[in-house]
Amino acid sequence: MELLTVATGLLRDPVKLIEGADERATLARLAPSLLIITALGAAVFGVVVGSYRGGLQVVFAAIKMPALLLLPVVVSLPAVRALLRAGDVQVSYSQVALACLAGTARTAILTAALGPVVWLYYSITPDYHASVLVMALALGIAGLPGMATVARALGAARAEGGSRLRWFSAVGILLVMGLTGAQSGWLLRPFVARPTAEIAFLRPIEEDVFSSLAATSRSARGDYRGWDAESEGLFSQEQTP
Amino acid sequence: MSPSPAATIHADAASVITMPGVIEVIGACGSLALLGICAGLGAGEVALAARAVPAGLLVAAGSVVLTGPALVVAHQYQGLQADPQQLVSALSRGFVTCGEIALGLSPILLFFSATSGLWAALYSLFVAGAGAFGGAVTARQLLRAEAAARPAGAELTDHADLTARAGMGGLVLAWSTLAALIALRIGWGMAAFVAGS
Repeated sequence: MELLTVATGLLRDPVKLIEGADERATLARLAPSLLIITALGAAVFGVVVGSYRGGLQVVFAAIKMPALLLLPVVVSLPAVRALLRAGDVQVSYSQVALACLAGTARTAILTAALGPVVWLYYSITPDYHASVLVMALALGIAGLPGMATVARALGAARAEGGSRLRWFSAVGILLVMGLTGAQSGWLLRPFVARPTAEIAFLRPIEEDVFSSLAATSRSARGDYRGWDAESEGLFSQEQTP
Repeated sequence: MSPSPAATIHADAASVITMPGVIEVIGACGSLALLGICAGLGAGEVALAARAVPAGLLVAAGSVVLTGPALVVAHQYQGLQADPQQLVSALSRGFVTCGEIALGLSPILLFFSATSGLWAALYSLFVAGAGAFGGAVTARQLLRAEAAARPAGAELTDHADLTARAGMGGLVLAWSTLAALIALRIGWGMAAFVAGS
């Protein structure tokens, strides 16, 4: 019942839901519900996305999709707070965490709601690339209200202070969230596996999301070079042909 | 009786800039070094990583140390009114902000160092970003310090007041440009040092 109440609050007025005199107490009270809602909503969307390939990929995508939404938040949280403070917006970690969790949970609910639409599209067995694009589009559509939630929730703090530098801060926050979100998606791939591909929970760590985008752009122009990814980074593994 | 617009502006600007404590400055240095450590972890070579660690700190601290005296001298030479200590406080506040942002960006750089080969590009981007924020905060604090130092009775139409405002604005612009150019020069040298060339 508590989950339903929180979910309804998230959809109707998320800022009102997370308002409270003591933000630490509010975070402690709401965090479990918000995390469960995020996990459930994203898992539903993951099931739909994984259904393109079917089999074990359904389970894998359902497990990874909540991580795709939460990992960028966890990694970016200190930077978001530092950037807000640089813009004279005095916020605590609890306030930032609460706003980000609420935004993520709202996104997760909306992705779950978009699940049937995506499933309907996948049911006509579209091309693999079109399927990936539709997944990205659905995440983008659901992500915008989530981002708006974060902006509005932190706007309450902004009203108490903040200088013109806050716009500079907002651009910085968008940049770091975008970077970490893109790299998280790359790390946790595949979500939509090719019908002929071998099912894997995670692919080896290799290259980065930007090299993949460059290779995709070249492929779109008929140049299919540059797909031989190399292992890079501290956690990468040596690849044997 | 309501206060005049000029008096209101001065009252808003009258927040005295407090000098950051030694711990805060050391913390900022440590944060910039931490950003370097996070970058170095992705370098793959111990020697390369060791050279990467101080690079960001040297760029940020170098640009502040090399431009600070020039700022104070030019400010006094122009006959502007803010206390030189306030200028130093503004510079220190900007540096501390730069460190705070570097600390916040460290987990992101660690994430990318661990999972991609983008450590060098992102290290440069993050040092530049933190430096830009630090510079913007410094510029704002400098303008605030000068505004707070103006006589409370000065009117917006007062010729001397307008001249002082324009003078401080020009000085801040010149300082920002100089600091950015020096940071770029040090950054270029650091890039060559880290690359071992």
